[in-house]
Amino acid sequence: MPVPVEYFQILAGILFAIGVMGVLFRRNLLIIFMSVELMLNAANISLVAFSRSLNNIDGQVIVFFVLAVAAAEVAVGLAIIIDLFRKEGTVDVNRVRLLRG
Amino acid sequence: MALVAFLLLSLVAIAGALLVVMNRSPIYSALSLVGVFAATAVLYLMLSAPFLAVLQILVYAGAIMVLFVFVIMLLSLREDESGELFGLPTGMRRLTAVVLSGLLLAQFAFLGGTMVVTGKTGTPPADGEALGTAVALGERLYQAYLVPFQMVGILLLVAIVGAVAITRRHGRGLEGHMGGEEEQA
Repeated sequence: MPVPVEYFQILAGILFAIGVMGVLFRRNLLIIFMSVELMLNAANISLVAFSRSLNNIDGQVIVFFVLAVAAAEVAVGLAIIIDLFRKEGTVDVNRVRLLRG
Repeated sequence: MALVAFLLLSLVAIAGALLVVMNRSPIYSALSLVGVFAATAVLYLMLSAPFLAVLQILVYAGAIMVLFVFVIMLLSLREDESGELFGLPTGMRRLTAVVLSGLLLAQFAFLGGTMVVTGKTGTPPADGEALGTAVALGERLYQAYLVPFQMVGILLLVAIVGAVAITRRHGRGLEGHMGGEEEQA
């Protein structure tokens, strides 16, 4: 008896909402970044579940691309965070005022 | 049987996600995130995507999280957010965050509820042959998605070069230039 695909969608929605909560609540840039990864992960679960229910592999191909883009994004994002920490000495988003008008 | 496994895995995933968001120290958040990714990999196995499950462990739990942990160790952060539970300065922002995320969660709950009630998407076909094997995914990638696949390679190359250019300290690149302006100002 396979698990209905709706359950996977609900799980993906809950994980996505928790990720949004992290981005909105936290001030630590690293944890905000991890929450973004959490949201990407939730979207991937949703894609794979639909790929299974439609019996079409294209959803899994998109997940593959999302994985690659996430890896690139993490590399550049962490580089920016390291550079920011060198300049400002903090990763608290409230104390970073470089781009504040 | 499968339902029990799914419920256990989703419990692990949701608990791990909550720990990621609510932990005070980034290193514990990173370790919780590894747990979420591992649970997700097993979910992929249940959805007959074995290749993506392996990829999830290798790329996410392996490469990306090692990068995160490495940077967390490198920065040696002080506990900036200690004190308040979520470290929010004003009540207004906390209210906004609660309302926005609650609204989103309610929307997802409504959507999922209607999907369960109406059963629009239907249950997946009973476990036949594995859908996402490395062979099947590779054929799809190298035939129908050949150009995007090559572009992903270029994207990764650009990301590597960009990361090096951003973090280079005493180079003649963009970073050194901006640092010089900062000192003059």
